[in-house]
Amino acid sequence: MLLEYLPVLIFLIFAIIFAAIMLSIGFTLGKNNPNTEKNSPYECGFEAFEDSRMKFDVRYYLVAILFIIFDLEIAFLFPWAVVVHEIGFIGIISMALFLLILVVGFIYEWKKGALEWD
Amino acid sequence: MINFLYIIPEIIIMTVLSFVIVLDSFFSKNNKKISYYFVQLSLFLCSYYIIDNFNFLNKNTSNLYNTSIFSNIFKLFITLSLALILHYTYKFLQYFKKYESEYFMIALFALIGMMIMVSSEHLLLLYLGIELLSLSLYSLISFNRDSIFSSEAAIKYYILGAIASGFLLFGISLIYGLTGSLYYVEISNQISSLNFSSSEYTLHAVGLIFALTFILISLAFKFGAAPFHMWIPDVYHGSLITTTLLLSTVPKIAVFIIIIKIINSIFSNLYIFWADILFILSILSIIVGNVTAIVQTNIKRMLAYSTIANIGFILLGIFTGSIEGYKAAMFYTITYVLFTIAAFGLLSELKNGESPIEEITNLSGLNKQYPILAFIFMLLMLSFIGIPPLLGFHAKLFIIQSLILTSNIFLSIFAVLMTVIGSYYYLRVIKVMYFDNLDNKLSCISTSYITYLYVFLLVLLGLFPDILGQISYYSISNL
Repeated sequence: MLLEYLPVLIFLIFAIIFAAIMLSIGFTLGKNNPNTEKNSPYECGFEAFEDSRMKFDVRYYLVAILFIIFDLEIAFLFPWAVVVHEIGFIGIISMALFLLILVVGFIYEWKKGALEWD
Repeated sequence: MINFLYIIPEIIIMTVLSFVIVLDSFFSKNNKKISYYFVQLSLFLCSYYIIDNFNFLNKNTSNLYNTSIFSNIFKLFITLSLALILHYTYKFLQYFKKYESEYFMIALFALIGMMIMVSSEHLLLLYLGIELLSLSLYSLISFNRDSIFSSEAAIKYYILGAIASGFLLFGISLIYGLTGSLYYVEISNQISSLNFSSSEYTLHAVGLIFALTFILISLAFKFGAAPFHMWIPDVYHGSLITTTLLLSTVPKIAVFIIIIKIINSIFSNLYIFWADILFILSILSIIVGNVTAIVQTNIKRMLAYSTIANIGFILLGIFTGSIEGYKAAMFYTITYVLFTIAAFGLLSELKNGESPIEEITNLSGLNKQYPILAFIFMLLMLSFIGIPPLLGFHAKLFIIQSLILTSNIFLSIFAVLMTVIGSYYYLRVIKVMYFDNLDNKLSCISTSYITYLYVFLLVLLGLFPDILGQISYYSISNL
């Protein structure tokens, strides 16, 4: 029973050793000349240390959220496209329904004006 | 291949929903209420198909999506209750000029979630249903977005709900690791094939008890049983009264079914372990609910604590682990839901000045102005207490009977004592309505004959409790 998990254990040990080797090579052989710009923390276009109560355009977040929904749809389309010749007609119908429901959501957000920039 | 004929009710709801979402965005501001009628239409169409296919759906042998008589009865019940709740919601929102068609669409999403929960025979499908329901409820709670309490309630429920879902997923993953399957039937077979007396069972048993505990905690959270009840008062208080009505009724049925299904089909062999958990949950719920409700002045908070106490009673019925107990618990759940819809539907039709009813004192002197409404409300409160000719009496009686049948004498005495304590806060509402001075700001939005008819039917059902008893017995034996 437990023996079945032996490959997992071997994999774990190998991963730890491999990662340790890679990191130590980087530390020992790499060039190291730090300056202030390199060492200062960086975060997605914002200054890392400043007042958190600043103005930002809320529309950017709305568009970003809406983008994520349609981006995730691609995550479903890729595996579907790989196996579509195996799942046949029922697979095509399922994906058509899925996309149809997505289009309904798209029409809704369009008519609600979520895509208007002003 | 899946036979789509078996999920016609769900398909109807989903189709109408897609149409309404598109149509609604093309309607002008004054025509938005057409969407509401479409939603109601879809609910009645759906219940028609459930009734129409009663025998046919029973032939479904899929072990992924179960459409047995048990789940059909509940789907019908949930759909019709939701239709009634949405009727009250519509009137309420219209009057207070808060009408948005989105409210009703989201309620339909919640309905689909509940249908999936009721029918699922697979743990991941169950998770899908729970999440669909919870996500809809989060948005419904935050619907009244001008109120800071509403947003607070929604965020609180969202965070706690996410944690509870995490617990559920952790339990599911443990079960998958131990049994290698997510189908209820296969898990149940695996567990029953375990020999609990042999020495090598320990690892398995510990894992299973872990999984059982995590899943039950998460379901207790969704149900609102005592140590996990913290969100209930705030959420009920923060949302609109009709949202409270929705929150406290239909989702409870769905969660009740999940609990009874999981306990009866997956963990039926682990009775000794889950009985202890349910015992503690129910005792704590009854004490916390009944005692804390006494000091509440806000009527929604009072309802919240009374919900917790009622859930304690339901869990007591399940705790016995006998068919009688399950039947009593189901009877209790149905009764509780029916009467809560009536009581809070009626409250949503009253107003205090230009705002909805909030405090218990808002109701003072209701008898002098609307004697019929006061009488109806008194009947409902008496049923919550458990006064004989009403349905609430039979519900409590069945629970206590099932406790005595499984020789839990002390528990039954405890239940009776707690009922006496609980009667205080229901009686106080009656006292405020009948013996306090008239509050001149109290008035009625609209008198609806649906309420009269509905309460009349409930009283009639109380005179012939055997009808509901037969239904719950029939559905439990077809579990």
